Amino acid sequence: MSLRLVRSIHTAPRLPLQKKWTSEGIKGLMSAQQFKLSWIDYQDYLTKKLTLNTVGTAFETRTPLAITLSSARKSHLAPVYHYASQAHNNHFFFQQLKDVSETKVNPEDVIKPQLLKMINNSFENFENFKNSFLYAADSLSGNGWVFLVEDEYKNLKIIQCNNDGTPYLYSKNQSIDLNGAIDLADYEKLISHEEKLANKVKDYSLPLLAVNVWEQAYVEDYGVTGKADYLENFWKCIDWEVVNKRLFSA
Amino acid sequence: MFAKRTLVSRVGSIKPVRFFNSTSLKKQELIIRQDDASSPTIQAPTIERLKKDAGIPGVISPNVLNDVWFNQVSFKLEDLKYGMAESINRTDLESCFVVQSNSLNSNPFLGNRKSASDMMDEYTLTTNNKVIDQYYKVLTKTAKEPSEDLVFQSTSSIYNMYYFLSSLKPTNQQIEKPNSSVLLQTPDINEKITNVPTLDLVKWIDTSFGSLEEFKALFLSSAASIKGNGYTWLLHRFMKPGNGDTRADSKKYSSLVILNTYNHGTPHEFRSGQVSSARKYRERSASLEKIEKGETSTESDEASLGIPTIEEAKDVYEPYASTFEPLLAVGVNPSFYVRDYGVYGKEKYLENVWNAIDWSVVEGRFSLSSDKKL
Repeated sequence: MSLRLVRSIHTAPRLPLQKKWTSEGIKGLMSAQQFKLSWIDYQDYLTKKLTLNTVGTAFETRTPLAITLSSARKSHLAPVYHYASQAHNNHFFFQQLKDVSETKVNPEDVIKPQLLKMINNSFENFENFKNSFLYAADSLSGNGWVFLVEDEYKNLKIIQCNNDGTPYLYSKNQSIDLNGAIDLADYEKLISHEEKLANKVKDYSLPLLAVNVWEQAYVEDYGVTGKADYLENFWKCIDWEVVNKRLFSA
Repeated sequence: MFAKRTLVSRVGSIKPVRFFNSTSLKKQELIIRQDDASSPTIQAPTIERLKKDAGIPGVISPNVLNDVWFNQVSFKLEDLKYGMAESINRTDLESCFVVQSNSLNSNPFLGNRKSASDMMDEYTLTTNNKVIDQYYKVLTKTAKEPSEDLVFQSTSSIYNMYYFLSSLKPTNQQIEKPNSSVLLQTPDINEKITNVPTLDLVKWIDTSFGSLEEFKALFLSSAASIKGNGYTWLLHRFMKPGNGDTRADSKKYSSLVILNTYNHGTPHEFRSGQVSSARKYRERSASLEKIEKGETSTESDEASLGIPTIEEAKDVYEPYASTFEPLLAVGVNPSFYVRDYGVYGKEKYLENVWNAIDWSVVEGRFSLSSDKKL
């Protein structure tokens, strides 16, 4: 009789250009030092913390996304949720980046027609989409993420996620900042989330594009007030081929 | 082209459409210009100990301090001025920055109040920093106004940062980036506490938290638990004096408390009760709608018009009864520490901050320091 014991740990994934970016940084977006901070060290920190928080549980062998989805509704799992959601979002963000020298000047040349049509339907034109997306990121007053998501009706929308919010579940988007004045519309939104959750309404949103507006993503290179410059540069370094592939096609 | 500054990028969303033709536009411009001539000076609080390019030795490196204080504060100050200039309550907000002349205080019956009508005003906290008192006034006027977001956020971020950075003194500790092995370290329970607070503060800490050890553990782990931007505060909570009273009663339910605020949140009680009043408003309008429709009003509908639920009662009464006087804040925004201590270094950073707390400054903010015998 033999007994086999298996233990699993979470580790940071490697990006295709990790070696190059470690020594040179992402051209046009971040220095090697900034890359080390926001990807190598931060992703390592998140996955190590995730391991420490999930050891000996069913979450030990699951991916950060799976953990995010199954912990999002349970407030007692908030510590696990934080590291899982952050690890997933950060990976999602870094996967879609490219050196500026490798990207096309005009993104509309690379974006596939189906996606471009959806963008034009939802935002009138591409320029308008760019401005809305970057404005959402710039006006997010704390740390967080901004996502372009495709909903179940094939509409595109922009979601602001405060701190560790996730684009996959409406009640965990965390798009309302309740730290200042709260108006009735905010309260109505909270109540509607509660009602939707009670009625087991599902969310089929899928993210296509993300921007990381946590301070550690830009302070090293741009300073705490340099977010707008970082966002301008981010837009030039998007690998739209990756975004194309994220579009759901049956 | 996407705007370079947040300030500019906000113009489109905040500026109300006020002008219909060019004549009214000119009139408006003229009024604004006249206003500007008499507008009070809106300034940032200064912290004498902080010098450009010097950092706070042992806590924050020169580059980081230049960025988070000198650079960020001037940026937020521009936002504040812009937000006030665009606000529909501009005159009211600017009145917070008008410096009162002392000659008004000669009436012996009024004490330090300006007029008899002030006796009816809510009790206001005052500190030994005039600029901070001005900011506090702006916070009281904007904390519950969704349309004043820009003013509230820029004021609050400067206000909070002031309570953090002005409480620190230089030390000879090392600013260093620990590696990932610190994640596995267990705290040493026998470690002696360094940088012990002043004797009077320790007495208050003992009665409020049990012991200095418990206080330090609670304070620093509250700070470590904030994942995004925010501050952990040490506050003095006391019963709010009734209308007309000028002094706080030190004996009544007074204690020190620890509180976390997130993003631009403020530790003051005047921001609270918003969710409960929204809930109440919603319930009321639902009940009224039913009554209007002629539907028989049920018992629960009647209840919602009168007696508050336990939740509401908690929301409404607890915070309103107390006033929170800020003594100390510790900021954990990633921009404060990741450049100096790395992503694994938050605990190291907090330890360094603890050792750099200037407890005499903290005690100086205690309004009851003259009669704080227990």
